[in-house]
Amino acid sequence: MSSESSPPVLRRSQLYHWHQQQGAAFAMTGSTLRVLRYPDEQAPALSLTDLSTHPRVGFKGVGTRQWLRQLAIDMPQTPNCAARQPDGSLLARLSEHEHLLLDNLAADAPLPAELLRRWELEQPSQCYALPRADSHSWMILAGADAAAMMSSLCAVDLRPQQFADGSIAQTSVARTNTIVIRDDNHGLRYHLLCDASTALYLWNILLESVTAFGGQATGLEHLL
Amino acid sequence: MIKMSERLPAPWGTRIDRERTVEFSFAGRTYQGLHGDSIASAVAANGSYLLSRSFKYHRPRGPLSFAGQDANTLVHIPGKPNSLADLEPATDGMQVQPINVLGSLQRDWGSALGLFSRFLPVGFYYKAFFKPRGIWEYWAPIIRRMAGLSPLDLSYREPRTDKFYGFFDVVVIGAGRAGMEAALDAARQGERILLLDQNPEPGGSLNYSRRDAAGLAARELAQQLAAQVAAEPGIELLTGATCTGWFADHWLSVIYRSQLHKIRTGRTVLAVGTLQQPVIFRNNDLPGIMLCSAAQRLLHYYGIAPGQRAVIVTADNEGYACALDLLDAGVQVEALVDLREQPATGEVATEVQRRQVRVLQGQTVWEAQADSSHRIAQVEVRPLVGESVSQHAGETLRCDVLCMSGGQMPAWQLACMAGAKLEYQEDQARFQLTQLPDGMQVSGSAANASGKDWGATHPWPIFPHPRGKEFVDFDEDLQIDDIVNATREGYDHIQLVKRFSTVGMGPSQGRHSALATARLVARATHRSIAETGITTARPPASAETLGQLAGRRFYPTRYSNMHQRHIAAGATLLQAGAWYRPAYYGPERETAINAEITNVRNNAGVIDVSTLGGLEIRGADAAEFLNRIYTFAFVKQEVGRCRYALMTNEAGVVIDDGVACRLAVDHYYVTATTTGVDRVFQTMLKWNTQWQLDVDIANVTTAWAAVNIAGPRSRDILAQLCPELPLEQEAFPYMGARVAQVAGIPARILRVGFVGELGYEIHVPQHCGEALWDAITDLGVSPFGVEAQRVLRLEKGHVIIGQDTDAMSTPQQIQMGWAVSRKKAFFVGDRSLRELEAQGVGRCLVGFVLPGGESQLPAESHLVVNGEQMVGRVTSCAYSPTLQRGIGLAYVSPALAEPGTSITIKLTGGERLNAQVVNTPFYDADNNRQDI
Repeated sequence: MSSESSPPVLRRSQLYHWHQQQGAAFAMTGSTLRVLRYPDEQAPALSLTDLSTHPRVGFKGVGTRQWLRQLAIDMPQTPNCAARQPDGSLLARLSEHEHLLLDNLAADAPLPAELLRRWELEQPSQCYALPRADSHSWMILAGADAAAMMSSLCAVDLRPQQFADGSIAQTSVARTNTIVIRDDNHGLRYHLLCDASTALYLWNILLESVTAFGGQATGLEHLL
Repeated sequence: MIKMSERLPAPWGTRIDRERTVEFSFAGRTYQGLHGDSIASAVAANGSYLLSRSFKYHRPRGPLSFAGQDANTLVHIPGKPNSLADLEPATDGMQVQPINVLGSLQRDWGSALGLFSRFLPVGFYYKAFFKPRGIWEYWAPIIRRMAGLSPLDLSYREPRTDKFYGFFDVVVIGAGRAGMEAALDAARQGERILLLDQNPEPGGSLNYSRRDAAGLAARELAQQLAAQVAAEPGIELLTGATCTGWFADHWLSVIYRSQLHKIRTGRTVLAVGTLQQPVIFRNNDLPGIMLCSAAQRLLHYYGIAPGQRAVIVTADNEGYACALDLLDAGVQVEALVDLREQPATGEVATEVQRRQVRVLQGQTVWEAQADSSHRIAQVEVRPLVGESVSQHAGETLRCDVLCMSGGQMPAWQLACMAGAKLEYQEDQARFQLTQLPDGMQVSGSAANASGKDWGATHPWPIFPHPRGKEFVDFDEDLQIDDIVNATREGYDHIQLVKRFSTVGMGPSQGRHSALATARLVARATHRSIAETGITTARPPASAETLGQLAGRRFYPTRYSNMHQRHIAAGATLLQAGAWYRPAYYGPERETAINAEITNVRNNAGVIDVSTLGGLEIRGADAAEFLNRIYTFAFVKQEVGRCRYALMTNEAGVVIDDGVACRLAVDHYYVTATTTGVDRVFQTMLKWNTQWQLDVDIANVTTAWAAVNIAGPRSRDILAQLCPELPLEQEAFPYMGARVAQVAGIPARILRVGFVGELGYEIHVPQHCGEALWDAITDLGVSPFGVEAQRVLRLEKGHVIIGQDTDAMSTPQQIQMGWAVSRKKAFFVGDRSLRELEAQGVGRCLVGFVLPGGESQLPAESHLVVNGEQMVGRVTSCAYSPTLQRGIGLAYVSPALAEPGTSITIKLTGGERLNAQVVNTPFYDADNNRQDI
């Protein structure tokens, strides 16, 4: 049943076949493929990139903050804020006791894997790991027009002057639950994390809007 | 083709590009206009003011306001029915048709109705067409044909229209002088402002009205303010944007570029100006009769002189400014008819006198008459005696344009939607907006604070004529008598008058009729105008299309990681909630399903069950939590074992089921139904908020992709994928659970048997789903779909929650009392179940079989009957290729539940089918096939 052209990968983004159809150039990391670029990519001012195969992990439970504090992790002080870590990963505080750690764009930050390893080893009290690498797909919307584009899909005011760097909105984008995180590490960017099963739907909706704003889908190279 | 006449030289014609012409057709004739023209201005440039026919009497009508404020300019454009010709830009190739035309625009035989208007009074429809009973069905198509607006194109599909959300500190509506000044003031306070105007340029009335004798001041001020606004970064200017409604908490609907913008603001400033009112006299609706502001718009925007010989009738000073503009444009002003007794004062009036315009003070137009082209040709002017017209014949003045100003009305709609009131100022003969809600401000002429010199306004620019045709509401062809007679019929409140006469209910929403109606109703009911008021303003203030309101369609869909493999394998999909699942594989439904069933029973098949709900229950109290949530007992469940989990609500009704798999002492992985998991998750959170057990609940449904390998060969297949894991019956028994690697992928393996065969449910991280699928199918395992699974589970007598249960189903009714623990202290629904059991079971879910060879199958919800009495209903039924007969589940009364009982099922159409109640499972009653 499997396609002969399919690379021998175990982890495949929900958009894997879409990327293949566009003729994407992939990079293999471990058992995972990442899109480097598409053939028609032209450094657009507004871009949409699939980071779903990038590492990420979540922790929740009333003991979470205490455990993270013990590990000297730089934690956001209030819910719905994100804090960048020294290795470039981004720790997003989704609620009082729930955190989400996103890898950096190069997918080489040691913290996500290290935290998961420590959690498995220590089994901290009332702190539970969440499989965010699989429960959610991860996209990144980059460009000065990103907020204007999102204003047709999301009722939250995401304009830079209102939605500060590091802000988080857990909201509805095109009628599907989405975590929106602003991250200006390399210009105005929004991380969008949606339920993995809705990834293809949301990707198509977003891409249609991105295209209307003169943007296009890009691979990882465009962001780095 | 009709060639347009020459335009006035610049600076007239600020909107047109004289170098670019456009050609379009209107009413079957080709017209030429200039880029920047509206349809109406381009038609006017060709000397024609006839644009449409009226709603009731099919009277010829032309533009009244040249600002999109009246229904006279409604035309039909393919794809844009009921467009306003004075707003819609003329473009090359456009095909425009007039509306309400019977015959031709010039010769409309429907206009003969006007001869019988005496017999068609207001309320005529209500009285004439509803008796005898049923006659409306005869009349309705005729009336609709005669009074219809644009024809509807039912095949039309709206292009995609996004909706946008916007957020501002202040929204200023109207970019005239007051609006721009308000925006600049707010910007200086550091606020973020949206300044919007429905015109294509900022400036508002400064762009066409006259404030001084020389006629320069307004334009210069507009340019200065526009430059300041453009230089202010805190102001976002949207031109061509119309605010159609104000809603609670300063939520504004704005239509911009045919898209709906939902604007939230802290403060709203209404700088919406005023609506110039018509003077009401006989034949005041003839083409060529327009508001003074309309003539000025034609001159200034489009460089078009509205005629060669003009008469002006005015109730305030606006007619004077208009006179000067007409003179400057080379139009001969025959007379300026001023309703007021006292001569006007001020710079503009003085200039009119200096230019020796003939001013007829204290007089009015009594009647207008048209030429053969329907355009105004002359007016009769009579002196006023107080507010009445002299009965003596007056002077006749020839003219081809009549400009009128019957006073001003603040554009009240948005303010009144927000709760503001209109208060009538008797001394100024004007309404004023009062009682504005918090956060709303009215400025400029809408607040009578623009500094415009309107002078005193004549309080009664309404002149009844013995032969009528003095139109109060152009949209609905309502004359003075229609309004007055409505009050005499007993509809003596302004709201009742509106509903009986339909005044103000047409497309122009009372912009030019509300003031006159208030005056007429007040006088007819012996109340003051202030007491009478006007009718309620509701959104939208201007037309919106349904497509704009609907916006872009968002229908979220969900797919598992293996979805593309199903497509490639020829799956036909079915929807379960937002999920798309393979129903069966192959071109022919029955063949495919039967083959898939046979393959599972005799070999092995694989099905994607990723849509199953998944919940992680972790913490010291995890077992206790499950004990309370589900009907079964879980405290003593061994690690590495699965247990069936049935959920009831407080009423003891079955609401979901799944399997609870104990992965550690303090860790359960629980499955739930595809469409029920969200409810289960919420229910769990709700209960634990009360119980405060030391437990964490996480919905991990999409974190896990899953397949079920089922069939006698499934152990052999799994052994090839995880050779390290002992799979023998003793090592991995039925209802066992293991964590292992399958095809190199970390997996949770549950040995369960929904379809009644040896089987393994393999759960892997979502993004590994396709790799797992590939690994299994590469071993030659064929997939089976949801339809085959439904038959397979039915053969085993397994229920599907939601299909075989309803809002009354208890565990006992569905013969699952075995899944209810009686030894534990509590579970949700426990008390209700005990109460219900004490009352006895009212119905039972039983299995039934159809006679062998019976080709007809009952459908779900077909009734089980005893004679004509309903005694139950079918919940599931299918042809079992294994048993080679129809089988099913049905609710029946307890008396019919005994195996061997014959029941009768009533099919669609009334045909009856006999079936026999049997024990379930239908197949492999001893469960030998799954527990091997």
